[in-house]
Amino acid sequence: MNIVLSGFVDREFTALKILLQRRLNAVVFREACTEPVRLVLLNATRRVDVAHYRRLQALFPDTPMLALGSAPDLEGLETLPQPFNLKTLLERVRQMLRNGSRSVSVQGKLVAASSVQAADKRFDHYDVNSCLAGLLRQALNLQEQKNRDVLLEGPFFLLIQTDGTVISSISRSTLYRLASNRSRDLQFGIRVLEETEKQAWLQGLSSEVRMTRLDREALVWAMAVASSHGELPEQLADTLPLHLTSWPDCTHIENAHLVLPVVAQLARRPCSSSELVHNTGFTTGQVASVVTALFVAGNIQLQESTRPVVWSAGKTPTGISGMLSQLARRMAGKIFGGQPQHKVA
Amino acid sequence: MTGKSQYKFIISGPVGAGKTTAIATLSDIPPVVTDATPTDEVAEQKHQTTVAMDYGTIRLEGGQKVHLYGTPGQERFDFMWDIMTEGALGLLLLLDNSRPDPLDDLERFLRAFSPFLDQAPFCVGITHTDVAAEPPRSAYNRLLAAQGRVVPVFTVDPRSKPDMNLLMLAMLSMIDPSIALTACASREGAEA
Ligand SMILES: Nc1nc2c(ncn2[C@@H]2O[C@H](COP(=O)(O)OP(=O)(O)OP(=O)(O)O)[C@@H](O)[C@H]2O)c(=O)[nH]1
Ligand SMILES: [Mg+2]
Repeated sequence: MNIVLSGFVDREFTALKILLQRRLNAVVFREACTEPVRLVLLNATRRVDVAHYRRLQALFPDTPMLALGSAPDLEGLETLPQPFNLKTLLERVRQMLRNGSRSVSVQGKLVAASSVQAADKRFDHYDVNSCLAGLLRQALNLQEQKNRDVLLEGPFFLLIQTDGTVISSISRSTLYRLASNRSRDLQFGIRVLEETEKQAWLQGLSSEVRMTRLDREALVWAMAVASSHGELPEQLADTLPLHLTSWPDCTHIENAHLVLPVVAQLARRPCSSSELVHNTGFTTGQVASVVTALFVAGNIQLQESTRPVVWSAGKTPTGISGMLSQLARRMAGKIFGGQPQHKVA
Repeated sequence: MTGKSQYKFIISGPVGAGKTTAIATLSDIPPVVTDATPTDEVAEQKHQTTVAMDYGTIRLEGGQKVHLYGTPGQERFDFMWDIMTEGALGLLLLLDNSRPDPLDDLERFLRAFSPFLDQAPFCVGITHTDVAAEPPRSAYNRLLAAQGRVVPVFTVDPRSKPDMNLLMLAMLSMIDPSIALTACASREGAEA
């Protein structure tokens, strides 16, 4: 039996999770849950945003919802007014579960194994726009649109060229360090350069400026990984399906052993970050850095207007014969030495 | 695929892309090559060229073999391509970045193999990037995306075993995505 807890801070969430798990044998999720949900508990001890309430209603239609605290703005919402203790809370939850059994909602076609992990494995987020990697993403977008060289000009410069290289006025290691610090106070201008402008600009540079030529893709990738710190860009909610638009150059990026399994999953069909954690067994931090790099490098896009996805049980790809998959597995085992195990450290 | 006792992958691409080299890198046995000294315009480009096909194998436990076939690069042999791809599990396309128009090569090969590519996985390896950095990999990706194809495109050196293994692994994971996971995990285990 699944219960969704919304609006609780970590400490409250954990306490409630343990309570509901022990007393009601419930499996507790944050909002990221596509399984049949029996009850939504909403924290109304602080002010509840109406938009948030509407979003919950949309996510879990027909599911009974109980607000803990008072929610005068939210019409028709059942509430358990303060003060309440754990005993009264449990009683009320039990009662609602009994009454509300008609309204088990199944969302989407995705069926998931009950998993407490889904609630534990939460992603932390950061604002990619406020760091160097985000700036780079913007510049790359612009370059993609215009198919011209793009100049990032600030305390140092990066000339992002259509030939797949970047000319930088600072060293690669300094760039990574700045990316990793998520330096917010660096100000840059972004501008598209026509060929003649570019030549003039290059000539105008003082001879003291040392220039490094770097591989664009490897650079963008490494800077994105450096800035992620195992967190996901804010734009990418954990449950939003990601759509693969191109493969990264796995032979020339770091951590190909993490990247390839993630990309292979995305190549079959769009998956959310939460789903990738489940399907690969990697940590949220590992998935977050790969997803960040894919996002900044432009290898993935958000699949808009799709339902959130936490986990899908359909592990065997359709249309592939078991025999073929067996063979491919043995080949991979051979190529990489030893019997492959189904375990990720 | 039932009743097929032969499991094979095809390696194709233009003259000098590195097909023979790639098979030698991947194969367990010394590859069977049918290279000859070219007599035509290819002679100006290289000393040896494949005239029939290249052949190598990857032997699996229990004696099963996976066959690797390399097509001859010269276009006058393209009548062989259809015969060779029949029943193949996948196609590895190698493209030489230092040729006059490698993107045109890509288009040409996509066209030539198109019925096969619609039903089997394929990957692209861009070679000779140490000699010619342009066009960038993104140009290949753009061309493929315009045809609605999202496939692995890696820059590889066919002489490098890790490069070729990774490209092969990407191919296998298109057959079953969980393969990348197990292979990468075992590799990580081996490194640790
Ligand atoms: N520098 C460099 N040399 C390469 C690369 N790939 C292959 N070569 C060399 O290019 C030459 C041609 O490679 P082959 O393997 O004979 O090419 P092929 O595709 O079999 O050619 P055909 O049989 O004529 O179609 C060999 O000398 C290889 O060592 C690469 O990425 N960089
Ligand atoms: Mg050859």
